[in-house]
Amino acid sequence: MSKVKCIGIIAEDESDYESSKTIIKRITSRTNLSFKKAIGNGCGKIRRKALAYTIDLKKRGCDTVILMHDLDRRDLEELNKDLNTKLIDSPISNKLICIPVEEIEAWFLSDPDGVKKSFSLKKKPKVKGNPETIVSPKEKLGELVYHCSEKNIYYLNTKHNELLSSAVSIELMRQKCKSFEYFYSFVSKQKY
Amino acid sequence: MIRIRFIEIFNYRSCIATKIDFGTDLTTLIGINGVGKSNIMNSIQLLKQINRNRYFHQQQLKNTLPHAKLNIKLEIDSELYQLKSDIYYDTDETNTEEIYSAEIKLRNISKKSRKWLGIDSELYEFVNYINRTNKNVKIVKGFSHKNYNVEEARFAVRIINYLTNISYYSATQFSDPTRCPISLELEDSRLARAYRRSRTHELFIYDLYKAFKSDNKSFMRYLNTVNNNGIGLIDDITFLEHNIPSSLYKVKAGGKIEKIEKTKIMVVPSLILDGLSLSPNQLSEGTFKTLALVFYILNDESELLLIEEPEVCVHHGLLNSIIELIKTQSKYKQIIISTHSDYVLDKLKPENVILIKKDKIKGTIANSLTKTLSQNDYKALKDYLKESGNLGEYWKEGGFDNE
Repeated sequence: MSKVKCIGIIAEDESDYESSKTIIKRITSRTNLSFKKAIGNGCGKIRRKALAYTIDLKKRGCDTVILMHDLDRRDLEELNKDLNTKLIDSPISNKLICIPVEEIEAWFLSDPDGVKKSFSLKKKPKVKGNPETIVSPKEKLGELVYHCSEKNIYYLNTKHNELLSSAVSIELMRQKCKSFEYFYSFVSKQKY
Repeated sequence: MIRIRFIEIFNYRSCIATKIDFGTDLTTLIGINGVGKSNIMNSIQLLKQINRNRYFHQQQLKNTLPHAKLNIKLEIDSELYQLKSDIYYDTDETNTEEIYSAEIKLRNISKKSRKWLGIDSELYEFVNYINRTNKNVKIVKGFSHKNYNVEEARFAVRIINYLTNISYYSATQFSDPTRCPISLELEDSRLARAYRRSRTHELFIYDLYKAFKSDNKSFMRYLNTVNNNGIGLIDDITFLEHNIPSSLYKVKAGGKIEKIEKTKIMVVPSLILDGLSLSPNQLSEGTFKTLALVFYILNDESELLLIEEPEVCVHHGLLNSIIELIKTQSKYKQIIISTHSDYVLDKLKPENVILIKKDKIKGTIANSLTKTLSQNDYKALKDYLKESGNLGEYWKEGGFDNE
């Protein structure tokens, strides 16, 4: 297994890219790792351009590619199969298709203390059950932040996901979110 | 909660008989330049201006003035009402409408009521008085008015407040921050004089100051959204207050002179950015506009907010945050935006979109995207969004255009 030097991240939006990058940095604790991005601004474009993005990322020097695609109430198995098919001819062989269930924000809801700390909330958010069973984690996170800050803070995924990614517990995300554990095991088994 | 569900606009500029369905609480009007998007926005604002009607009874004027009609289906606390308005107006040299006469009436169509409740000018005056004086006047049993019982009066006041509070934001309103004053002069907590160069800029700073002074929570919420806890436009906002003693002399009958002592307050706003303290007129146009837009999105008390072209002068990263904010706020109030940006459309759903076109005979035509596409075309759009691309791309690639 050759050493990973540059990871290309294909994501639906900038916040998903920033979150993934921040979490990878925390898992690997490497400072010499570089990142390149391809942002689709929506899932449809990611699916259409997935292969083109990997070709571009290869040209830009990436040796590993991670495609982030929210499940968004689709069938997990079917989506995974579909995305794998799209990347079958990817010039980067070291690749991961990561499908957060239902959205990446579910990962953050694994750690209510981390959410509280990130926003300096007055109260600790209450998250019932497994975060991956929440239908709309982004919306849920928005409601929790608003109410637990005594209506002082509006959650903006575009700005706050990076903050949350650097604060929430990796261990709790591994325990509570299967999709994160999958992401974690891929990232941690690489040589850097 | 009051929401517009359907509107018919008759005889207002290019809106000859324009019908619009509002299926969701966030609606986006799209279309090429000159098809009448702004006319739709302006026509809704006519309802807001009715309270400025000072010529209610000048019947003879009506015959010489343009006469617009707006028929609206309002959803009020889960019941549907029909609101009919007849508006006689004139347009001045600044392209601003002045209303000379207006009649508004509504009836409950959920209950199939035939009785129309008219909203007369006296009630407008009553609401104006309450709002102007900040008096807590409640309509209770014994309220005497020739046309209303207590329930009807309360309902009519609610409708008046809804209409007069309709909010409007346009990117052009906040062009050129150099026109913004660097201080405000207040007398009895009100602006002492209108700033010469731009009333809109001055009002924004005044509104910001009022929020800072009166409601710490809403100001903090705003600050947390625009500072580094949120979109990071600025670090902080401060206001320095200086008391300015002043006096005036009043000559009384008999020649006696009375000296009246007054205290004015000079308010100096500062926006802290990268450790520097800046006056509002030193901000970039995009920063100034975004500060104003976010302020009015978060702080206006209306149930209907109209926003024209939120994308102007804004970097796509910041625009992304603004659209997210608009989407969040549309849970609490109805928001109608107009845009030319495919990037804005990328962030929305087909259900949010209304296509605006113009016909030489029929004038402005509005069709909701979901209703204008055939079942087959709509399925094709859904498949495209799932498999191939974004809504804005689909628009640019001609997917909404059918002959």
